[in-house]
Amino acid sequence: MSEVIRQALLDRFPGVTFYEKAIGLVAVVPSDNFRDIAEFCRDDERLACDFLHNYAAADFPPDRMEVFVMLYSYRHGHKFTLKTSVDRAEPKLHSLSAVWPAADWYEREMFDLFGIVFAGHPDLRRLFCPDYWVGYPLRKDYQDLRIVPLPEVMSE
Amino acid sequence: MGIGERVVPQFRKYPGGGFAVSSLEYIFNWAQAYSMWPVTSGLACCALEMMAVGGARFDMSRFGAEVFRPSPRQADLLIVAGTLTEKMAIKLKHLYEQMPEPKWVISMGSCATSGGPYYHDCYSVVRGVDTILPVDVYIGGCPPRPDALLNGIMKLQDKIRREKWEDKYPLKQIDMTQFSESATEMSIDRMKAFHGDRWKEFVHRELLEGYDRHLLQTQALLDAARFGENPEGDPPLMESPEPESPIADGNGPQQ
Repeated sequence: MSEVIRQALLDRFPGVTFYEKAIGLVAVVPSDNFRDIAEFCRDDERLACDFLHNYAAADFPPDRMEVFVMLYSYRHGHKFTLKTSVDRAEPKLHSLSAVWPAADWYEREMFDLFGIVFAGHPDLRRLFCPDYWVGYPLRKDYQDLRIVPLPEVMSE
Repeated sequence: MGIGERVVPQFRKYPGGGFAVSSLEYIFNWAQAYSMWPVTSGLACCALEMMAVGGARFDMSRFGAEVFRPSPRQADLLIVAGTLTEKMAIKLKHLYEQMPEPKWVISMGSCATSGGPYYHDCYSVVRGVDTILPVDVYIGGCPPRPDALLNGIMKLQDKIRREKWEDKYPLKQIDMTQFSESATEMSIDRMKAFHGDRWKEFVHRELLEGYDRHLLQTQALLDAARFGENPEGDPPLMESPEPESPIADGNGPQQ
């Protein structure tokens, strides 16, 4: 099954690299044509990923953040992950909310907690934190006077 | 409550009036203690235990506190049942201020009491509801058993029955002007509460424009969000108006 996915992606986008993890096949794609690849995954006959399974980000200081999209195909019953990395100083990415409408709130969540700006998003506001919030709480270097650090005795 | 504010002070002028006041005090406290109307405000899993207390098995109506009101204006007991987050804190405070005096607050569970499991290394949870509201009774547990909530309600009833008339009346006047301040001012206040004197260091560059949500949305963010979308330039937001037909000018078609 994963061979089909690899071949379908490589036919169109030769620069994509792959690796296998416990979550399954992961395709590492460049962030420039992230949206084109996502659209291709939805429209291509061999991939036909009509379901956005999960869409999240992770922070890797000091230089990058990783965004991944887990896709599932009801037609073929396969799933795989698209992963891309963005510049941490100025994280920007094309919005996928026109490809899968479900991506809307996922992107608002990532904007809220990581500060990733999604180009072309229809309504990019904070989702969980209140509007007056300062900073992006899930970044590793987030600071806040109210946070009480865990004592070392308890963290061991 | 005209009796509390006007009639009772008159009683005190006459000999034996203090006896009448203490009798009234007893009657009023008794009535208030056994007719508490809680406001329906469950915040997290403690709310399920609160529902169990309202249901038939534990049945808080045995103790005169069963009428959960959907409006804070009809309630006099606020059971803070669950984790209070920063986003909910302002709304809960607003809920409390809408309740008529006299009113009481029960902090149910360890999250509401102190932040509980979210006390350390957490950015979003208020560490204790008593940082924003006056609390009468704290109930420990995660979540507390329904019996514990019943016990807390009975403790509150004991407290109400011991209350002095002079403590309760005249009723406190709520300064409602504090709610008319704009969300922007409240935002800056909250930022100062977050970060102290160093709050400006944490303001993101988009926010430096004007601490305004609408500015944040319309200007800087949307400019940034258009990155790479249209290299030739943005399309006009609206269709350009069609050329006016000759009928539209009111002179009729030109012959």
